[in-house]
Amino acid sequence: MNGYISVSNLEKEYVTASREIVHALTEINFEIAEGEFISVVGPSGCGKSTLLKILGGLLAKTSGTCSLKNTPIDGPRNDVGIVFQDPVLLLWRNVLQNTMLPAEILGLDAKKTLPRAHDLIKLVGLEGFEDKYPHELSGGMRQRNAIIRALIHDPNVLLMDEPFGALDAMTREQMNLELQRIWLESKKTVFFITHSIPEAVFLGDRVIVMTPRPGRISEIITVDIPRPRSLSTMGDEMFVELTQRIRNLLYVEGSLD
Amino acid sequence: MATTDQNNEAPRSAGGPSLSETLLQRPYLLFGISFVILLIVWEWTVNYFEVDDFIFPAPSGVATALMRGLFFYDVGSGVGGAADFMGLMKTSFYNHISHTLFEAVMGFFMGSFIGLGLGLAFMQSKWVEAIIMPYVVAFQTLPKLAIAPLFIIWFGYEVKSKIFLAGLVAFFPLLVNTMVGLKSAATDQIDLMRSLSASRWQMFWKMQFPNALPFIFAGFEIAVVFSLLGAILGEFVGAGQCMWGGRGQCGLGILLMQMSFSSDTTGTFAILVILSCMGLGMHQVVRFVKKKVLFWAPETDKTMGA
Repeated sequence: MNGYISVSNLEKEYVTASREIVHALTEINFEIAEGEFISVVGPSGCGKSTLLKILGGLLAKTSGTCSLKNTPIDGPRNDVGIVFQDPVLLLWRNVLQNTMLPAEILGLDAKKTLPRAHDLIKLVGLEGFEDKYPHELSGGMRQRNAIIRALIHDPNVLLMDEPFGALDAMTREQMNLELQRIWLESKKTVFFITHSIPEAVFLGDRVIVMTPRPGRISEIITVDIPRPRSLSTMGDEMFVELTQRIRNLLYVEGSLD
Repeated sequence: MATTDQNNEAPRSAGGPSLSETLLQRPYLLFGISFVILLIVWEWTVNYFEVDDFIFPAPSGVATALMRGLFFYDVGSGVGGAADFMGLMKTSFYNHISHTLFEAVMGFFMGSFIGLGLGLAFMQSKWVEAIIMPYVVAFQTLPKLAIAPLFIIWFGYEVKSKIFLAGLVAFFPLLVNTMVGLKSAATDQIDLMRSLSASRWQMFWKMQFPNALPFIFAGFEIAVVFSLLGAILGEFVGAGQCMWGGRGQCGLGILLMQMSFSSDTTGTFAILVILSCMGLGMHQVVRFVKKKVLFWAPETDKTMGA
Protein backbone atom coordinates (compact mmCIF):
# COMPACT_ATOMS: atom_id res chain seq x y z
CA MET A 1 0.00 0.00 0.00
CA ASN A 2 2.66 2.53 -0.80
CA GLY A 3 1.79 3.55 -4.35
CA TYR A 4 1.39 7.22 -5.14
CA ILE A 5 -2.22 6.54 -5.86
CA SER A 6 -3.55 3.34 -4.42
CA VAL A 7 -6.97 1.84 -4.74
CA SER A 8 -8.01 -1.35 -3.02
CA ASN A 9 -11.25 -3.32 -2.91
CA LEU A 10 -13.08 -0.34 -4.29
CA GLU A 11 -16.81 -0.88 -4.81
CA LYS A 12 -19.42 1.49 -6.16
CA GLU A 13 -23.13 0.79 -6.20
CA TYR A 14 -25.90 2.96 -7.55
CA VAL A 15 -29.54 2.70 -6.65
CA THR A 16 -31.60 3.43 -9.75
CA ALA A 17 -34.91 5.25 -9.81
CA SER A 18 -36.68 1.87 -9.91
CA ARG A 19 -34.81 0.89 -6.73
CA GLU A 20 -32.53 -1.61 -8.39
CA ILE A 21 -28.95 -1.82 -7.22
CA VAL A 22 -26.39 -1.46 -9.99
CA HIS A 23 -22.80 -2.51 -9.40
CA ALA A 24 -20.91 0.18 -11.25
CA LEU A 25 -17.52 -0.94 -9.96
CA THR A 26 -16.43 -4.03 -8.08
CA GLU A 27 -13.12 -5.37 -6.72
CA ILE A 28 -11.04 -2.54 -8.10
CA ASN A 29 -7.39 -2.84 -7.05
CA PHE A 30 -4.41 -0.99 -8.49
CA GLU A 31 -1.48 1.20 -7.60
CA ILE A 32 -0.01 4.02 -9.61
CA ALA A 33 3.58 5.19 -9.18
CA GLU A 34 4.48 8.87 -9.13
CA GLY A 35 4.92 10.26 -12.63
CA GLU A 36 3.36 7.24 -14.24
CA PHE A 37 1.03 7.48 -17.24
CA ILE A 38 -1.87 5.09 -16.78
CA SER A 39 -4.36 4.52 -19.58
CA VAL A 40 -7.75 3.03 -18.87
CA VAL A 41 -9.57 1.37 -21.72
CA GLY A 42 -12.95 -0.30 -21.79
CA PRO A 43 -16.33 -0.16 -23.44
CA SER A 44 -19.13 2.19 -22.42
CA GLY A 45 -20.70 1.29 -19.13
CA CYS A 46 -17.62 -0.33 -17.62
CA GLY A 47 -17.49 2.32 -14.92
CA LYS A 48 -14.28 4.03 -15.98
CA SER A 49 -15.73 7.52 -15.69
CA THR A 50 -17.17 6.61 -12.29
CA LEU A 51 -13.69 5.49 -11.23
CA LEU A 52 -12.21 8.81 -12.40
CA LYS A 53 -14.83 10.79 -10.50
CA ILE A 54 -14.11 8.86 -7.33
CA LEU A 55 -10.37 9.54 -7.76
CA GLY A 56 -11.19 13.20 -8.34
CA GLY A 57 -13.26 13.32 -5.16
CA LEU A 58 -16.39 14.22 -7.09
CA LEU A 59 -18.21 11.01 -6.26
CA ALA A 60 -18.35 9.00 -3.04
CA LYS A 61 -17.32 5.34 -3.10
CA THR A 62 -19.48 2.64 -1.56
CA SER A 63 -16.65 0.72 0.09
CA GLY A 64 -12.92 0.06 -0.15
CA THR A 65 -10.03 2.47 0.14
CA CYS A 66 -8.68 5.03 -2.22
CA SER A 67 -5.71 7.23 -1.41
CA LEU A 68 -3.35 9.75 -2.93
CA LYS A 69 0.05 10.38 -1.35
CA ASN A 70 -1.09 8.25 1.60
CA THR A 71 -4.06 10.47 2.39
CA PRO A 72 -7.54 9.15 1.70
CA ILE A 73 -9.47 10.80 -1.14
CA ASP A 74 -12.71 12.03 0.39
CA GLY A 75 -13.41 15.16 -1.63
CA PRO A 76 -12.01 17.41 -4.35
CA ARG A 77 -8.41 18.39 -3.77
CA ASN A 78 -6.08 21.01 -5.12
CA ASP A 79 -3.32 18.63 -6.16
CA VAL A 80 -5.54 17.09 -8.82
CA GLY A 81 -6.46 18.55 -12.21
CA ILE A 82 -9.33 17.18 -14.28
CA VAL A 83 -9.85 17.27 -18.05
CA PHE A 84 -13.33 16.29 -19.18
CA GLN A 85 -14.52 14.82 -22.46
CA ASP A 86 -15.94 18.18 -23.46
CA PRO A 87 -13.54 21.06 -22.95
CA VAL A 88 -16.05 22.69 -20.55
CA LEU A 89 -14.58 26.11 -21.24
CA LEU A 90 -16.52 29.05 -19.85
CA LEU A 91 -17.80 30.72 -23.02
CA TRP A 92 -17.51 34.26 -21.66
CA ARG A 93 -13.82 33.86 -20.90
CA ASN A 94 -10.98 34.01 -23.41
CA VAL A 95 -8.12 31.52 -23.60
CA LEU A 96 -6.06 33.31 -20.95
CA GLN A 97 -9.01 33.83 -18.61
CA ASN A 98 -10.12 30.22 -18.94
CA THR A 99 -6.59 29.07 -18.23
CA MET A 100 -6.49 31.26 -15.13
CA LEU A 101 -9.85 30.08 -13.73
CA PRO A 102 -8.45 27.52 -11.24
CA ALA A 103 -5.86 30.05 -10.07
CA GLU A 104 -8.63 32.58 -9.40
CA ILE A 105 -10.83 30.13 -7.57
CA LEU A 106 -7.99 28.76 -5.48
CA GLY A 107 -6.89 32.32 -4.73
CA LEU A 108 -3.36 31.87 -6.08
CA ASP A 109 -1.06 34.84 -6.53
CA ALA A 110 -1.66 36.18 -10.03
CA LYS A 111 1.92 37.48 -10.19
CA LYS A 112 3.17 33.91 -10.12
CA THR A 113 0.43 32.19 -12.08
CA LEU A 114 0.14 34.68 -14.95
CA PRO A 115 3.64 33.99 -16.31
CA ARG A 116 2.93 30.30 -15.86
CA ALA A 117 -0.30 30.68 -17.85
CA HIS A 118 1.64 32.28 -20.68
CA ASP A 119 4.21 29.49 -20.57
CA LEU A 120 1.47 26.88 -20.77
CA ILE A 121 -0.21 28.71 -23.64
CA LYS A 122 3.13 28.62 -25.44
CA LEU A 123 3.58 24.95 -24.56
CA VAL A 124 0.39 23.94 -26.39
CA GLY A 125 0.84 26.38 -29.27
CA LEU A 126 -1.99 28.75 -28.41
CA GLU A 127 0.22 31.82 -28.61
CA GLY A 128 -1.56 34.69 -30.29
CA PHE A 129 -4.92 33.26 -29.27
CA GLU A 130 -4.82 34.48 -25.65
CA ASP A 131 -7.72 36.88 -26.16
CA LYS A 132 -9.83 34.59 -28.34
CA TYR A 133 -13.09 33.22 -26.98
CA PRO A 134 -14.13 29.55 -27.21
CA HIS A 135 -16.48 30.18 -30.13
CA GLU A 136 -13.49 31.45 -32.10
CA LEU A 137 -11.41 28.31 -31.51
CA SER A 138 -11.32 24.93 -33.23
CA GLY A 139 -12.17 21.74 -31.32
CA GLY A 140 -8.51 20.82 -30.85
CA MET A 141 -7.64 24.30 -29.60
CA ARG A 142 -10.46 24.21 -27.09
CA GLN A 143 -9.29 20.89 -25.72
CA ARG A 144 -5.71 22.21 -25.49
CA ASN A 145 -7.09 25.15 -23.54
CA ALA A 146 -8.86 22.72 -21.21
CA ILE A 147 -5.66 20.76 -20.67
CA ILE A 148 -3.58 23.76 -19.68
CA ARG A 149 -6.40 24.94 -17.42
CA ALA A 150 -6.02 21.64 -15.56
CA LEU A 151 -2.27 22.30 -15.28
CA ILE A 152 -2.25 25.96 -14.18
CA HIS A 153 -2.28 25.26 -10.44
CA ASP A 154 0.52 22.73 -10.94
CA PRO A 155 -1.34 19.66 -9.64
CA ASN A 156 0.57 16.41 -9.13
CA VAL A 157 -2.12 14.33 -10.74
CA LEU A 158 -3.97 14.81 -14.01
CA LEU A 159 -7.24 12.93 -14.46
CA MET A 160 -8.43 12.83 -18.06
CA ASP A 161 -11.83 11.49 -19.04
CA GLU A 162 -11.76 10.69 -22.77
CA PRO A 163 -10.42 14.15 -23.52
CA PHE A 164 -10.01 13.52 -27.26
CA GLY A 165 -13.20 11.53 -27.78
CA ALA A 166 -14.94 14.32 -29.65
CA LEU A 167 -12.06 15.15 -31.99
CA ASP A 168 -11.56 13.91 -35.53
CA ALA A 169 -9.01 11.13 -36.06
CA MET A 170 -6.16 13.31 -37.32
CA THR A 171 -6.51 16.03 -34.69
CA ARG A 172 -6.68 13.23 -32.17
CA GLU A 173 -3.33 11.77 -33.24
CA GLN A 174 -1.76 15.20 -33.02
CA MET A 175 -3.19 15.70 -29.56
CA ASN A 176 -1.78 12.33 -28.51
CA LEU A 177 1.69 13.43 -29.55
CA GLU A 178 1.20 16.73 -27.80
CA LEU A 179 -0.04 15.14 -24.60
CA GLN A 180 2.98 12.84 -24.57
CA ARG A 181 5.23 15.86 -24.95
CA ILE A 182 3.47 17.77 -22.18
CA TRP A 183 3.69 14.74 -19.92
CA LEU A 184 7.39 14.21 -20.67
CA GLU A 185 8.04 17.85 -19.80
CA SER A 186 5.87 18.11 -16.71
CA LYS A 187 6.15 14.58 -15.32
CA LYS A 188 2.66 14.56 -13.87
CA THR A 189 0.97 11.38 -12.78
CA VAL A 190 -1.72 10.85 -15.42
CA PHE A 191 -4.87 8.76 -15.28
CA PHE A 192 -6.15 8.74 -18.83
CA ILE A 193 -9.48 7.23 -19.87
CA THR A 194 -10.14 6.35 -23.48
CA HIS A 195 -12.33 4.29 -25.79
CA SER A 196 -9.50 3.77 -28.20
CA ILE A 197 -7.16 0.80 -27.74
CA PRO A 198 -4.33 2.24 -29.89
CA GLU A 199 -4.54 5.54 -28.00
CA ALA A 200 -4.35 3.72 -24.67
CA VAL A 201 -1.26 1.77 -25.72
CA PHE A 202 0.39 4.71 -27.44
CA LEU A 203 0.20 6.93 -24.37
CA GLY A 204 0.31 4.58 -21.41
CA ASP A 205 3.12 3.17 -19.31
CA ARG A 206 0.50 0.66 -18.30
CA VAL A 207 -3.02 0.04 -19.57
CA ILE A 208 -5.84 -0.89 -17.26
CA VAL A 209 -8.34 -2.96 -19.23
CA MET A 210 -11.85 -2.83 -17.82
CA THR A 211 -14.97 -4.85 -18.60
CA PRO A 212 -18.57 -3.98 -17.78
CA ARG A 213 -21.49 -5.44 -15.81
CA PRO A 214 -20.18 -5.17 -13.20
CA GLY A 215 -17.31 -2.79 -13.96
CA ARG A 216 -14.06 -4.44 -12.98
CA ILE A 217 -10.44 -4.66 -14.00
CA SER A 218 -9.78 -7.52 -16.37
CA GLU A 219 -6.04 -7.04 -16.62
CA ILE A 220 -3.32 -4.44 -16.24
CA ILE A 221 -0.87 -4.54 -19.13
CA THR A 222 2.60 -3.00 -19.10
CA VAL A 223 3.62 -1.20 -22.26
CA ASP A 224 7.37 -1.56 -22.65
CA ILE A 225 7.84 0.71 -25.61
CA PRO A 226 10.56 3.38 -25.24
CA ARG A 227 9.72 7.09 -25.27
CA PRO A 228 9.22 9.39 -26.95
CA ARG A 229 6.90 7.34 -29.09
CA SER A 230 6.04 8.59 -32.56
CA LEU A 231 3.15 7.84 -34.86
CA SER A 232 5.29 5.22 -36.61
CA THR A 233 5.45 3.39 -33.28
CA MET A 234 1.91 2.29 -34.06
CA GLY A 235 3.30 0.04 -36.79
CA ASP A 236 5.82 -1.66 -34.46
CA GLU A 237 5.41 -5.33 -33.82
CA MET A 238 5.13 -4.90 -30.05
CA PHE A 239 2.50 -2.18 -30.44
CA VAL A 240 0.37 -4.33 -32.74
CA GLU A 241 0.78 -7.28 -30.42
CA LEU A 242 -0.33 -5.31 -27.36
CA THR A 243 -3.37 -3.79 -29.04
CA GLN A 244 -4.35 -7.24 -30.31
CA ARG A 245 -3.99 -8.66 -26.82
CA ILE A 246 -6.23 -5.97 -25.34
CA ARG A 247 -8.74 -6.42 -28.10
CA ASN A 248 -8.86 -10.16 -27.37
CA LEU A 249 -9.35 -9.47 -23.68
CA LEU A 250 -12.33 -7.25 -24.40
CA TYR A 251 -13.87 -9.70 -26.87
CA VAL A 252 -13.26 -12.80 -24.76
CA GLU A 253 -15.00 -11.12 -21.88
CA GLY A 254 -17.95 -10.73 -24.21
CA SER A 255 -18.19 -7.05 -23.50
CA LEU A 256 -17.93 -5.89 -27.07
CA ASP A 257 -20.72 -6.95 -29.32
CA MET B 1 -4.73 27.88 -37.39
CA ALA B 2 -8.28 27.94 -38.58
CA THR B 3 -11.24 28.92 -36.50
CA THR B 4 -14.41 26.89 -36.55
CA ASP B 5 -16.78 29.28 -38.22
CA GLN B 6 -15.65 28.76 -41.74
CA ASN B 7 -18.39 26.55 -43.06
CA ASN B 8 -21.11 29.14 -42.74
CA GLU B 9 -20.77 30.42 -46.26
CA ALA B 10 -23.35 29.09 -48.63
CA PRO B 11 -21.96 27.29 -51.63
CA ARG B 12 -22.01 29.42 -54.75
CA SER B 13 -22.64 28.40 -58.27
CA ALA B 14 -19.86 29.07 -60.73
CA GLY B 15 -21.58 31.80 -62.73
CA GLY B 16 -22.03 34.35 -59.92
CA PRO B 17 -25.09 34.57 -57.65
CA SER B 18 -28.48 34.40 -59.33
CA LEU B 19 -31.27 36.87 -58.54
CA SER B 20 -33.01 34.53 -56.09
CA GLU B 21 -29.72 33.89 -54.25
CA THR B 22 -29.05 37.61 -54.05
CA LEU B 23 -32.48 38.21 -52.54
CA LEU B 24 -32.22 35.38 -50.03
CA GLN B 25 -28.88 36.72 -48.84
CA ARG B 26 -30.44 40.12 -48.20
CA PRO B 27 -33.56 39.45 -46.15
CA TYR B 28 -34.12 43.19 -45.55
CA LEU B 29 -34.22 43.88 -49.26
CA LEU B 30 -36.60 40.99 -49.73
CA PHE B 31 -38.83 42.35 -46.96
CA GLY B 32 -38.76 45.83 -48.46
CA ILE B 33 -39.85 44.59 -51.87
CA SER B 34 -42.64 42.40 -50.48
CA PHE B 35 -43.82 45.28 -48.28
CA VAL B 36 -44.06 47.68 -51.19
CA ILE B 37 -45.99 45.06 -53.18
CA LEU B 38 -48.31 44.55 -50.22
CA LEU B 39 -48.99 48.29 -50.00
CA ILE B 40 -49.72 48.54 -53.72
CA VAL B 41 -52.09 45.56 -53.67
CA TRP B 42 -53.77 46.90 -50.53
CA GLU B 43 -54.23 50.39 -51.99
CA TRP B 44 -55.52 49.03 -55.28
CA THR B 45 -57.94 46.57 -53.64
CA VAL B 46 -59.45 49.21 -51.35
CA ASN B 47 -59.92 51.61 -54.27
CA TYR B 48 -61.19 49.03 -56.71
CA PHE B 49 -63.88 47.65 -54.38
CA GLU B 50 -64.61 51.10 -52.99
CA VAL B 51 -64.20 49.95 -49.40
CA ASP B 52 -65.26 52.60 -46.92
CA ASP B 53 -62.47 54.15 -44.82
CA PHE B 54 -64.52 53.30 -41.78
CA ILE B 55 -64.27 49.57 -42.60
CA PHE B 56 -60.74 49.35 -43.95
CA PRO B 57 -58.67 52.41 -44.86
CA ALA B 58 -56.23 52.52 -47.74
CA PRO B 59 -52.50 52.85 -46.91
CA SER B 60 -52.46 56.33 -48.43
CA GLY B 61 -55.14 57.43 -45.96
CA VAL B 62 -53.26 55.89 -43.04
CA ALA B 63 -50.08 57.62 -44.16
CA THR B 64 -51.91 60.96 -44.35
CA ALA B 65 -53.38 60.52 -40.87
CA LEU B 66 -49.94 59.59 -39.59
CA MET B 67 -48.26 62.63 -41.17
CA ARG B 68 -50.95 64.96 -39.90
CA GLY B 69 -50.58 63.68 -36.36
CA LEU B 70 -46.81 63.73 -36.44
CA PHE B 71 -46.20 67.02 -38.22
CA PHE B 72 -49.33 69.18 -38.00
CA TYR B 73 -50.48 68.53 -34.48
CA ASP B 74 -53.94 67.49 -35.59
CA VAL B 75 -54.62 63.92 -34.64
CA GLY B 76 -58.29 63.34 -35.33
CA SER B 77 -59.60 63.16 -38.85
CA GLY B 78 -63.02 63.53 -37.26
CA VAL B 79 -64.82 61.36 -39.76
CA GLY B 80 -68.26 62.90 -40.24
CA GLY B 81 -67.33 65.60 -37.76
CA ALA B 82 -67.26 63.21 -34.79
CA ALA B 83 -67.23 65.00 -31.48
CA ASP B 84 -63.87 65.47 -29.82
CA PHE B 85 -65.51 65.11 -26.45
CA MET B 86 -62.35 64.49 -24.47
CA GLY B 87 -60.40 67.26 -26.12
CA LEU B 88 -57.49 65.01 -26.86
CA MET B 89 -57.61 65.22 -30.63
CA LYS B 90 -55.84 68.52 -30.59
CA THR B 91 -52.69 67.31 -28.91
CA SER B 92 -49.88 65.97 -31.02
CA PHE B 93 -49.01 62.29 -31.27
CA TYR B 94 -45.84 63.04 -29.38
CA ASN B 95 -47.61 63.72 -26.11
CA HIS B 96 -49.38 60.38 -26.35
CA ILE B 97 -46.30 58.54 -27.52
CA SER B 98 -44.11 59.93 -24.76
CA HIS B 99 -46.69 58.99 -22.12
CA THR B 100 -47.07 55.42 -23.27
CA LEU B 101 -43.35 55.04 -23.84
CA PHE B 102 -42.59 56.38 -20.37
CA GLU B 103 -45.06 53.96 -18.77
CA ALA B 104 -43.81 50.98 -20.78
CA VAL B 105 -40.12 51.66 -20.20
CA MET B 106 -40.53 52.33 -16.47
CA GLY B 107 -42.70 49.24 -16.16
CA PHE B 108 -40.16 47.21 -18.08
CA PHE B 109 -37.32 48.19 -15.78
CA MET B 110 -39.34 47.75 -12.62
CA GLY B 111 -41.00 44.47 -13.56
CA SER B 112 -38.04 42.78 -15.17
CA PHE B 113 -35.61 43.68 -12.42
CA ILE B 114 -37.98 42.45 -9.74
CA GLY B 115 -38.45 39.27 -11.79
CA LEU B 116 -34.70 38.88 -12.15
CA GLY B 117 -34.12 39.51 -8.46
CA LEU B 118 -36.81 37.08 -7.37
CA GLY B 119 -35.46 34.46 -9.80
CA LEU B 120 -32.01 34.82 -8.23
CA ALA B 121 -33.50 34.65 -4.73
CA PHE B 122 -35.47 31.51 -5.54
CA MET B 123 -32.34 29.78 -6.74
CA GLN B 124 -30.47 30.67 -3.56
CA SER B 125 -33.08 29.21 -1.28
CA LYS B 126 -35.32 26.23 -1.93
CA TRP B 127 -37.42 27.45 1.00
CA VAL B 128 -38.19 30.80 -0.55
CA GLU B 129 -39.02 29.12 -3.84
CA ALA B 130 -41.28 26.51 -2.24
CA ILE B 131 -43.23 29.09 -0.27
CA ILE B 132 -43.57 31.92 -2.77
CA MET B 133 -43.63 30.15 -6.15
CA PRO B 134 -47.22 28.80 -5.93
CA TYR B 135 -48.55 32.32 -5.35
CA VAL B 136 -46.55 33.66 -8.27
CA VAL B 137 -47.85 30.95 -10.60
CA ALA B 138 -51.43 31.39 -9.42
CA PHE B 139 -51.13 35.13 -9.94
CA GLN B 140 -49.65 34.63 -13.37
CA THR B 141 -52.57 32.48 -14.52
CA LEU B 142 -54.97 35.38 -13.85
CA PRO B 143 -55.85 37.32 -17.00
CA LYS B 144 -54.11 40.65 -16.58
CA LEU B 145 -57.09 42.47 -18.02
CA ALA B 146 -59.10 41.30 -15.01
CA ILE B 147 -56.57 42.80 -12.61
CA ALA B 148 -56.31 46.12 -14.43
CA PRO B 149 -59.40 47.76 -12.84
CA LEU B 150 -58.02 46.87 -9.39
CA PHE B 151 -54.77 48.60 -10.22
CA ILE B 152 -56.72 51.72 -11.15
CA ILE B 153 -58.44 51.63 -7.76
CA TRP B 154 -55.20 51.04 -5.87
CA PHE B 155 -52.83 53.29 -7.77
CA GLY B 156 -55.11 55.85 -9.35
CA TYR B 157 -55.74 57.00 -12.90
CA GLU B 158 -52.33 58.57 -13.33
CA VAL B 159 -49.19 56.95 -14.73
CA LYS B 160 -48.45 54.97 -11.58
CA SER B 161 -51.12 52.34 -12.26
CA LYS B 162 -49.94 51.94 -15.87
CA ILE B 163 -46.33 51.52 -14.84
CA PHE B 164 -47.32 48.86 -12.33
CA LEU B 165 -49.41 47.01 -14.91
CA ALA B 166 -46.59 47.13 -17.45
CA GLY B 167 -44.26 45.93 -14.69
CA LEU B 168 -46.60 43.11 -13.80
CA VAL B 169 -46.59 41.64 -17.31
CA ALA B 170 -42.83 42.20 -17.72
CA PHE B 171 -42.11 40.43 -14.44
CA PHE B 172 -42.96 36.84 -15.25
CA PRO B 173 -40.78 36.22 -18.34
CA LEU B 174 -37.77 37.39 -16.35
CA LEU B 175 -38.58 35.26 -13.33
CA VAL B 176 -39.03 32.10 -15.38
CA ASN B 177 -36.08 32.67 -17.68
CA THR B 178 -33.75 33.52 -14.81
CA MET B 179 -34.72 30.32 -13.02
CA VAL B 180 -34.37 28.16 -16.13
CA GLY B 181 -31.07 29.87 -16.95
CA LEU B 182 -29.60 29.30 -13.51
CA LYS B 183 -30.57 25.65 -13.69
CA SER B 184 -29.03 25.26 -17.14
CA ALA B 185 -25.45 24.68 -15.98
CA ALA B 186 -24.14 21.39 -17.38
CA THR B 187 -23.06 18.63 -15.00
CA ASP B 188 -19.52 18.93 -16.35
CA GLN B 189 -19.43 22.64 -15.52
CA ILE B 190 -20.58 21.94 -11.99
CA ASP B 191 -18.03 19.14 -11.67
CA LEU B 192 -15.31 21.47 -12.93
CA MET B 193 -16.13 24.06 -10.28
CA ARG B 194 -16.51 21.40 -7.59
CA SER B 195 -13.16 19.85 -8.49
CA LEU B 196 -11.60 23.23 -7.66
CA SER B 197 -13.50 23.37 -4.36
CA ALA B 198 -15.24 26.55 -5.51
CA SER B 199 -17.37 28.25 -2.87
CA ARG B 200 -21.07 28.70 -3.50
CA TRP B 201 -20.42 32.36 -4.19
CA GLN B 202 -17.70 31.58 -6.74
CA MET B 203 -19.85 28.86 -8.28
CA PHE B 204 -22.61 31.41 -8.73
CA TRP B 205 -20.72 34.43 -10.01
CA LYS B 206 -18.07 32.70 -12.08
CA MET B 207 -20.25 30.04 -13.64
CA GLN B 208 -23.98 29.91 -12.92
CA PHE B 209 -24.90 33.56 -13.45
CA PRO B 210 -23.00 34.21 -16.69
CA ASN B 211 -24.35 30.89 -17.92
CA ALA B 212 -27.88 32.15 -17.30
CA LEU B 213 -27.37 35.44 -19.16
CA PRO B 214 -28.56 34.21 -22.58
CA PHE B 215 -31.79 33.08 -20.93
CA ILE B 216 -32.12 36.32 -18.99
CA PHE B 217 -31.73 38.35 -22.16
CA ALA B 218 -34.33 36.20 -23.89
CA GLY B 219 -36.56 37.17 -20.95
CA PHE B 220 -35.78 40.88 -21.49
CA GLU B 221 -36.74 40.53 -25.15
CA ILE B 222 -40.15 39.15 -24.23
CA ALA B 223 -40.65 41.53 -21.31
CA VAL B 224 -40.00 44.65 -23.37
CA VAL B 225 -42.80 43.77 -25.77
CA PHE B 226 -45.11 42.76 -22.93
CA SER B 227 -44.52 46.01 -21.08
CA LEU B 228 -45.90 48.01 -24.00
CA LEU B 229 -48.94 45.78 -23.94
CA GLY B 230 -49.32 46.36 -20.20
CA ALA B 231 -49.14 50.13 -20.60
CA ILE B 232 -51.82 50.16 -23.34
CA LEU B 233 -53.97 47.84 -21.26
CA GLY B 234 -53.76 50.22 -18.33
CA GLU B 235 -54.72 53.16 -20.50
CA PHE B 236 -57.71 51.30 -21.90
CA VAL B 237 -59.06 50.83 -18.40
CA GLY B 238 -58.60 54.44 -17.41
CA ALA B 239 -56.26 57.14 -18.63
CA GLY B 240 -54.83 59.93 -16.54
CA GLN B 241 -54.15 63.59 -17.22
CA CYS B 242 -51.26 64.60 -19.38
CA MET B 243 -48.11 64.89 -17.32
CA TRP B 244 -46.30 67.39 -19.43
CA GLY B 245 -48.14 70.14 -21.24
CA GLY B 246 -50.86 68.64 -23.38
CA ARG B 247 -54.49 69.23 -22.75
CA GLY B 248 -56.82 66.54 -21.46
CA GLN B 249 -55.77 62.94 -21.19
CA CYS B 250 -52.66 61.34 -22.61
CA GLY B 251 -51.60 57.93 -23.82
CA LEU B 252 -51.84 56.01 -27.09
CA GLY B 253 -54.25 53.57 -25.46
CA ILE B 254 -56.81 56.25 -24.63
CA LEU B 255 -56.29 57.83 -28.04
CA LEU B 256 -57.02 54.44 -29.59
CA MET B 257 -60.25 54.22 -27.56
CA GLN B 258 -61.18 57.72 -28.62
CA MET B 259 -60.59 56.97 -32.29
CA SER B 260 -62.75 53.89 -31.94
CA PHE B 261 -65.58 55.92 -30.32
CA SER B 262 -65.45 58.38 -33.17
CA SER B 263 -65.28 55.60 -35.79
CA ASP B 264 -61.92 56.90 -37.02
CA THR B 265 -60.53 53.63 -38.42
CA THR B 266 -57.85 55.46 -40.39
CA GLY B 267 -56.58 57.10 -37.21
CA THR B 268 -56.67 53.72 -35.44
CA PHE B 269 -54.46 52.26 -38.14
CA ALA B 270 -52.07 55.19 -37.81
CA ILE B 271 -51.74 54.51 -34.10
CA LEU B 272 -51.23 50.80 -34.71
CA VAL B 273 -48.36 51.72 -37.02
CA ILE B 274 -46.87 53.89 -34.27
CA LEU B 275 -47.30 51.14 -31.68
CA SER B 276 -45.64 48.53 -33.83
CA CYS B 277 -42.75 50.92 -34.51
CA MET B 278 -42.40 51.52 -30.76
CA GLY B 279 -42.48 47.78 -30.04
CA LEU B 280 -39.90 47.09 -32.73
CA GLY B 281 -37.72 49.96 -31.56
CA MET B 282 -37.73 48.86 -27.92
CA HIS B 283 -37.05 45.29 -28.98
CA GLN B 284 -34.14 46.44 -31.12
CA VAL B 285 -32.62 48.35 -28.21
CA VAL B 286 -32.72 45.19 -26.08
CA ARG B 287 -31.23 43.14 -28.91
CA PHE B 288 -28.47 45.70 -29.33
CA VAL B 289 -27.53 45.53 -25.65
CA LYS B 290 -27.79 41.73 -25.79
CA LYS B 291 -25.36 41.56 -28.72
CA LYS B 292 -22.88 43.71 -26.80
CA VAL B 293 -23.13 41.71 -23.57
CA LEU B 294 -23.47 38.24 -25.06
CA PHE B 295 -20.83 38.52 -27.77
CA TRP B 296 -19.52 35.16 -26.60
CA ALA B 297 -22.76 33.23 -26.92
CA PRO B 298 -23.45 31.11 -29.96
CA GLU B 299 -26.25 32.60 -32.08
CA THR B 300 -29.04 30.32 -30.94
CA ASP B 301 -32.40 31.74 -30.12
CA LYS B 302 -33.19 30.94 -26.53
CA THR B 303 -36.44 32.88 -26.55
CA MET B 304 -39.12 30.92 -24.77
CA GLY B 305 -42.64 31.02 -26.15
CA ALA B 306 -44.27 34.24 -25.06
